[in-house]
Amino acid sequence: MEPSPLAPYLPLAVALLLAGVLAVAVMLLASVLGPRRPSAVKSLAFEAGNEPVGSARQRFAVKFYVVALLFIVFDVEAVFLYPWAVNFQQLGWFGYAEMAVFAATLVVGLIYVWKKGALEWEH
Amino acid sequence: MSRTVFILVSIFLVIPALLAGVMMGAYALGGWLDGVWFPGAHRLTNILVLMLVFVMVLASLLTLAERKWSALMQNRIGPNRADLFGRPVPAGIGHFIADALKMLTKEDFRPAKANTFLYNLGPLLAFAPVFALFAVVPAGPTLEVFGKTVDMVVATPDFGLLFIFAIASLAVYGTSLAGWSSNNKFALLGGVRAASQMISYEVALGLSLVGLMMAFSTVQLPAFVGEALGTGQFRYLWGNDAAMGLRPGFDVGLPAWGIFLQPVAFVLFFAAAFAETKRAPFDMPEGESEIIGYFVEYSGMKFGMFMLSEFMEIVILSGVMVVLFFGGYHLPIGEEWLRGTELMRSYPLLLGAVLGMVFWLKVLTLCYLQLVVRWTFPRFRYDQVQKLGWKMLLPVGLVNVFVTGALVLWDPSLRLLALSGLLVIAVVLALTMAAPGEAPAEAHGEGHGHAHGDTTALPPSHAHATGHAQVHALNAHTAVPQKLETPERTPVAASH
Repeated sequence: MEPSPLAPYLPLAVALLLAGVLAVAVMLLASVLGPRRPSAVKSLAFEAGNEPVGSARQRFAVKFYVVALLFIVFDVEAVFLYPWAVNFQQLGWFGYAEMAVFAATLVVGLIYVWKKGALEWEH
Repeated sequence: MSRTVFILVSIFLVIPALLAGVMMGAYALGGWLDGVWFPGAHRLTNILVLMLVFVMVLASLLTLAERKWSALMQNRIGPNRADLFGRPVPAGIGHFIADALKMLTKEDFRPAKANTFLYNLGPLLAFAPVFALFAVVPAGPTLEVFGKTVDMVVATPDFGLLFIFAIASLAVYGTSLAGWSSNNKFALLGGVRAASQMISYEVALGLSLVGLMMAFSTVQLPAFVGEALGTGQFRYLWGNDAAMGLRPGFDVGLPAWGIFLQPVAFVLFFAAAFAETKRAPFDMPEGESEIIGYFVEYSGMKFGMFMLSEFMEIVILSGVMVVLFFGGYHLPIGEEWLRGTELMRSYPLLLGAVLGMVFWLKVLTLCYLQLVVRWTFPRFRYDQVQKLGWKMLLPVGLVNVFVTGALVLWDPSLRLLALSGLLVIAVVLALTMAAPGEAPAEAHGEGHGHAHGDTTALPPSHAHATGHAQVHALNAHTAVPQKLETPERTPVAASH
């Protein structure tokens, strides 16, 4: 029988499946083995021993969103570099120059956000 | 004295023998299953041996090793009380069994205000991706066992390294979901800190390995290691191997390992990946002495899954670093000679045992390095973490890509790249030797070394900071809406 082109990925699928099954199984096992004695005080949020004040569902600093946006930009850049890097030795100096132009535009972006202060955490 | 002898015997005899024995068993098991079932079935036993036995057992033993090794570093004894059936066990082995039992039989607790589904999904998403990571890491050579071709890797997809990046970044969902769904302000702080830190360092992590991809023209992990002589890292840059036209008795030389070609990338990758594991000095998301972390509302096995995934990350990170930078399962010198000997030709199982042992010894060494780092450096402040990631690692990573590219194109034999790499290593070593004790981190460590003659299980920074931290945490609690706007300075870093 001719092996399917997907055959090399079968062990990977088994490993991923096993990871999920194992995680669920361990959690189920712990919930079966452990006791269950809830109480009103125990169910409170633990905030250094004090009674929780207000809700935890509130706004948090916009800086975290800025970091997320920068992450998208520069991580996508890194992803674009991978196929180029693998074929790098065939592409030669021409490919090197092309990617240098691409990276330069992103470096300009990095300098811009740097000067803008988006990378400063203390403001 | 007897303790020293015990440690030396373990390091040089028991552990290598154990590793070699298990690897030989793994090859034999794989060859046998291939014979009785279908060709390729050994991949299933590889899942069993590599992922369930090696990674899981090493990770659980590391939880104990961390306590023991930190005790060694701080001149304490460490955990030694747990007995098995009333009999004392050496090296505190009883503790890790007791820990596992305790976690399994603790109450499966859920805070009343938490979002049940997401709260349970958190530990699942933290654990499962990390567990699956080791699937693409090769731990031994491909051999003929009982007439069957057996390799020591679960899967060899062409996108090996991309699989690692993709699956590893899934873990960020686990931590941020855990932080948000707990409905606890400290957990929320820990969750957003974890998410922000992990994605910041993912950029540097991704960029750091581009240089290696250019040098080896691949992203497949076995191709980095090199199966046949002269490929990947299985060759010499300078040496007296067959490629040089010589037929030596014993081959020596400088192997084409990633660490010699790309030392800058190694430092970038190590720092970035260390930040991804969220261990000290990058442990702001957990920060036991201030916000406790995104898992503050988790107990029992659910907390255990967060903890275990952290220790699995140590093992897997070591495995990936060994494959990319330290030649995988290859010996630095003399492997060609070893493969050529009559004994190894007649018994391929022995070769598998030796090279598999080499791989796991390298992994253990890097695990030890990670624990040393974790117990040596005090915690960063959160703004320092972001600064390091964006203003240091990212620009250095970009420069590294293009400098490496120019050197690879200039000299495709990679010798020029290795020369520049050796130069960087020499400069770093010289700088390190020239300025002993001038770094603030070292002065800090000596400053309160005297406080640790007791048997406290807290790391240096934490033991020192507990007093401040309680006051600090109470203040933070009453003023959380404002505090969320500004990152909390750790008292440790601020007060010194």
